[in-house]
Amino acid sequence: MHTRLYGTSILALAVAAVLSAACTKSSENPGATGTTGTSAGVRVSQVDLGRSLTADKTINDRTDSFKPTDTIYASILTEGAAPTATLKARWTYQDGQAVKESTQTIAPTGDARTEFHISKPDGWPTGKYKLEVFLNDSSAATKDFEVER
Amino acid sequence: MGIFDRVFDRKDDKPAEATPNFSDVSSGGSSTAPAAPQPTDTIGSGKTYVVVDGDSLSKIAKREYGDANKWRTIYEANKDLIKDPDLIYPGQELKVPGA
Repeated sequence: MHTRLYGTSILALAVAAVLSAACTKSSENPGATGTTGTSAGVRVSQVDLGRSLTADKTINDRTDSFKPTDTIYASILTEGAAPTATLKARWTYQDGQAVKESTQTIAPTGDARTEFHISKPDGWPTGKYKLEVFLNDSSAATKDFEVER
Repeated sequence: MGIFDRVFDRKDDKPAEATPNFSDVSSGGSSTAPAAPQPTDTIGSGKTYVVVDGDSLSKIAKREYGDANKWRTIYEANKDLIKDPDLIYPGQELKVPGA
C-alpha cells in the first residue's frame, strides 16, 4: 500500500514538472519574437546619433544636438543572425513632417552596425526632429534630437 | 485683457511659419553586415527549383530565402509559368532569383 502511494506521488510530480516546463516555454515565445518581425533572432539593441563615424560604423562624437550645416549620422547596433533583415530609418521634423526615409537589407551573421546619414545642402531648419528605426517593418527604436543655431 | 485680445494679439505678432522643404535632403548608409541578396538585382541569376507535391510559393520562399513573405519574388520571376500564385503544380521548374 505504501509502495503504491509512493509510486503514484512520483508519477504526479513528474507530470506536474512536464506541464510546468511546457507552460514556461509557451509563455516565452511571444516575447522572443515580438520585437524582431520576420527575422527571428535579430534585434536592435542600440541607436546612437552624431556628426561623424569611425571605420567600424560607430559614432565618433555622440550628440543629440546639431548645427544646421551638420551631416547627421545614426549608428544602429543589431544583435543576432538572419538570412535577411530590413532596417528602415524614418526621419521626421517637429510634428511628424517627413524628412527622409531610407532602407537597407542586410544578412547579419552576428552583431552588426548599420549606419544611415542625412544632409541638407541649404541647412537644416532649427527645431526638434525624430529618428524612428524599423526592423522588418516593426518599430524598434526612436531617438529625438534637435537642430539649433 | 480678455481671451479674445490674446488670440488677436497672437495672430498679429506671429504670422504662420512656412512648412520647411526637405525635398533636397540626401541620404546614404552602409553596414558591417553583408548585404542580403536583392531580388531585383539578381533576376537572371539564381537557381531552378522543381515543384513537389505540397509546395506553395510561400513555402519555397521560406526554404530558399528564409522568408515566406518573399514569395512574390518567385512569382514575379515566373509570371510566364504561373497564372495564379495560389496554383503551382508538381514538376514545374521555377526560377528562384538570387537563391
